[in-house]
Amino acid sequence: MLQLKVGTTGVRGKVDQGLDLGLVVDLVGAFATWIDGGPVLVARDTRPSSTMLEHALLSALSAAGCEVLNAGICPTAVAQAEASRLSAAGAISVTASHNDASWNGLKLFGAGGRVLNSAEGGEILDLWHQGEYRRARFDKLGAIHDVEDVVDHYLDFLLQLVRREDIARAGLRVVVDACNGAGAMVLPELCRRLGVELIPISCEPTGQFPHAPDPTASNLGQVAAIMQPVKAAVGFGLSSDCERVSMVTDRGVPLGTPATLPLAVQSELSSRDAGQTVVASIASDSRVDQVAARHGASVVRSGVGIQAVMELVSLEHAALGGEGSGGVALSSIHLAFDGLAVMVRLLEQVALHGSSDELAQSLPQIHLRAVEVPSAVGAGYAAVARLREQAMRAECTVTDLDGIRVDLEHGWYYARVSHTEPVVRIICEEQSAERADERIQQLRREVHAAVQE
Amino acid sequence: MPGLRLKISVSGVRGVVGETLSPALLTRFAEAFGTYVGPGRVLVGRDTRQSGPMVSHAVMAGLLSTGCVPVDLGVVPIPALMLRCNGRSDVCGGVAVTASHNPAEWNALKLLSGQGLFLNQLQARALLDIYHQGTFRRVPGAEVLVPEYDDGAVEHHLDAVLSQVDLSAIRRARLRVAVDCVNGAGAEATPQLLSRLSCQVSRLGCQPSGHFHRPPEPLPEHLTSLREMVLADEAQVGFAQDADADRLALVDNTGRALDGDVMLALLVDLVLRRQKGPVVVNLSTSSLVDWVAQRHGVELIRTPVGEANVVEAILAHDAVVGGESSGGLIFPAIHTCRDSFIGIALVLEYLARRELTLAELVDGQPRREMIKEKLPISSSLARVLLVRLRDLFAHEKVDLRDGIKVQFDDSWVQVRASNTEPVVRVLVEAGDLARARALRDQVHEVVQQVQREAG
Repeated sequence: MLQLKVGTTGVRGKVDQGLDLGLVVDLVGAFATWIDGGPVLVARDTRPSSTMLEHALLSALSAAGCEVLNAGICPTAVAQAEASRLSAAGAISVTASHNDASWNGLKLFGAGGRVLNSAEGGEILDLWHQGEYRRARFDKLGAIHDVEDVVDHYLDFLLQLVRREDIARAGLRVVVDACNGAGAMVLPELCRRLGVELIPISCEPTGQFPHAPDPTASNLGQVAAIMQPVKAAVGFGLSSDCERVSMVTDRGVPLGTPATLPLAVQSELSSRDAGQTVVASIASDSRVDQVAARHGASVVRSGVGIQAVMELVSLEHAALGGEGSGGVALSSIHLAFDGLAVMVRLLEQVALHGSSDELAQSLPQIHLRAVEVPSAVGAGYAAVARLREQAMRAECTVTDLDGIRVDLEHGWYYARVSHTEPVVRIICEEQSAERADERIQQLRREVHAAVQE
Repeated sequence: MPGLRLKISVSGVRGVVGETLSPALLTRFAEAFGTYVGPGRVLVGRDTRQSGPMVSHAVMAGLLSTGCVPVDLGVVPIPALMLRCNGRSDVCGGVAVTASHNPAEWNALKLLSGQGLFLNQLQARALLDIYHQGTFRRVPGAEVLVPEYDDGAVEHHLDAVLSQVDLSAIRRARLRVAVDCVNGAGAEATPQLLSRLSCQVSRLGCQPSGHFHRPPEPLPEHLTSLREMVLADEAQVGFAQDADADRLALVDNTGRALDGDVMLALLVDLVLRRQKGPVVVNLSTSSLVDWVAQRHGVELIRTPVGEANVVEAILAHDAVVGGESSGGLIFPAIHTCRDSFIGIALVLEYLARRELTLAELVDGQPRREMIKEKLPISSSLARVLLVRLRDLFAHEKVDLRDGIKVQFDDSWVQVRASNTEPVVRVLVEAGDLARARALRDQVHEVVQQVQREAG
């Protein structure tokens, strides 16, 4: 089956079944046309196919007359920061983020590494559909340069915005699983400069992923297992391009990606006045609302994905925004889903307020369940539409922002066709574990049956 | 067909950057090639053209997609790339990113077998078939391999060239030479060769910048600056290359740029002085080579025009030397490809003996007059023309392997249709100009007759 998702933030697909080079060079041609031949920063994660796509990008950008600033392997948010420092007209990160190694993709960014809004992304897709791209004469081709010291520049930028003395004074020992992704390029130096002792797991930039590069609780078993034996203060897991991050407590409990946003809300708002705004996607759980309420902040719900979140963060001048997948942007740092920046903020919290276990305990207790049901593309949309009809008939509150969110008296559920994979994602929250289990099973059965038809 | 500047053929793909030679087309062609030769290592080398990196990156992406490992040689003389393909046992093919003697806005992919030879007709047709079918081998994302780099090709090649000549004799002679590498792929390697031979070198175009200060084809009329430099610096010889450094041209010590046929005969002579054996040239090459072969008592084999044809015959007849008058000396003891470097070394070895100057050596050749013309004619009329000429010369010695070539006692005429343009090429050679013109006029008459009949 062809597995390809083209959207207004870029493209993602299976490398041998959908993401062909012709498509990639055409999309990059459209992007180069959109930024009118300005300089473009290019970065990649560590997966084996990223080098292949990087070569295709360099060719396509050069052919379009764009100067190429090649940052090599680095996290997406680091590339965004470097694009900002160099005032690049655009940036492209070659990564499939949390997808496994058979996938890859491109994340497209605007001037200074800014996340594109959906209208801008739509303009690029229009150019792509029109199929006529900018072409430079042989003597006006874009020059290709390597950018040096990208990580140092990023650390200079990040570390002036955090409480590094507080962190250093605490003498923390930290376990991090980078899944052999782009984070491996940054973590050792980041920890050295923070005065933190790093216990690295899968922290070589080899692209050999020991597990799916998504820091879900189930993928962080290795971190969880060694927390107590090595007496680490806190643990983290990162996605292949460090967009997503999640925390593991000193007692070896992985909190999962949905806990990242509420933890970040707590850390960002603890030293700020009331009246702040937080953006959370409609698929994130009620802990965000509860933690925000503790700090007198309001929550605005967005659609799913970095673009939807970031549009509202800008519009609402929010302190932060994020989603249950573990992607969080902190306005105090920069407008990027930056797992490394979030990790440093959580280190501040651990340093200032005691143990990571206490930090986790301070979050409200909820009962959240999530499943994925494989589906062909058309079938997925039909299944979600059917859930919507049922909810409407039952006179529940239905929000159509992105997929459907159905709010119930003591909980909610959410179903959506994935933006990046051929699956329907379902999430539900209930007041008890039993009811959450029951609800998710029921939803899974219904979607599965609908997809089969 | 004005405006269409793209050619996909058995010799690869060639086009104009910014018009036809797009990254999408290049990756697709590289995917077809990777599907055909791979999976395995494929050497990728380029000349210095400004579009070289753009083209090379597209090729590397396409090769990776088919499970091949592209090995990037960077800027490299094409003979060094070809020798490297042949010398490495772990290589299944090669891609030369060069438009050779074409102007700077052009670029091209030339495709090599694992033995470092240009694909022959059969191989190239199979590749084109795969390209046109458009279904290529694709490896899963996790199995895409890592590109490699190889910076040893130039040294490998120079070592091979130097091992063929009398090093100490050349070094002792401290020869004074001028060189024009047209800022092409030979721009660094050629001065290296000359410095290893202790020459005193006057340099032109020795920056690998791809800025061609003259048309890259090393024709006598393009070598004014080199001729002036030879005279000004009192050099004993001037060497000129094309952009990928496979072709050579010579300027003698009197500042004369030698005609390609004169140079080829001279180089063949230098090889045969060292070793006797068969010689291969094409049917359009001057009879000066026959004169050389006869003096050395060796067999001369002629083939249709085209490097692939000459190479094939060299291998089949175990020849010691071959080439074409366009400037390509092929010296199979190193590798069966056009190689300007061995040509340079052989000339220097001769000059080191201080018997004759280069001009004296050239003047020792018999004088031949050649006329080379292109006549516009549609390709269907060209066929009629060839049949008419065959009838006209039915009682003469006729060779029909490449158009028609008629051999008289002291002269010959060849008429062949071009593969790329609606023209016929007419070549005439005779001992004096009057005879050459008479033969040329005879062909013109038939051409006019054929065109008159067609209305």
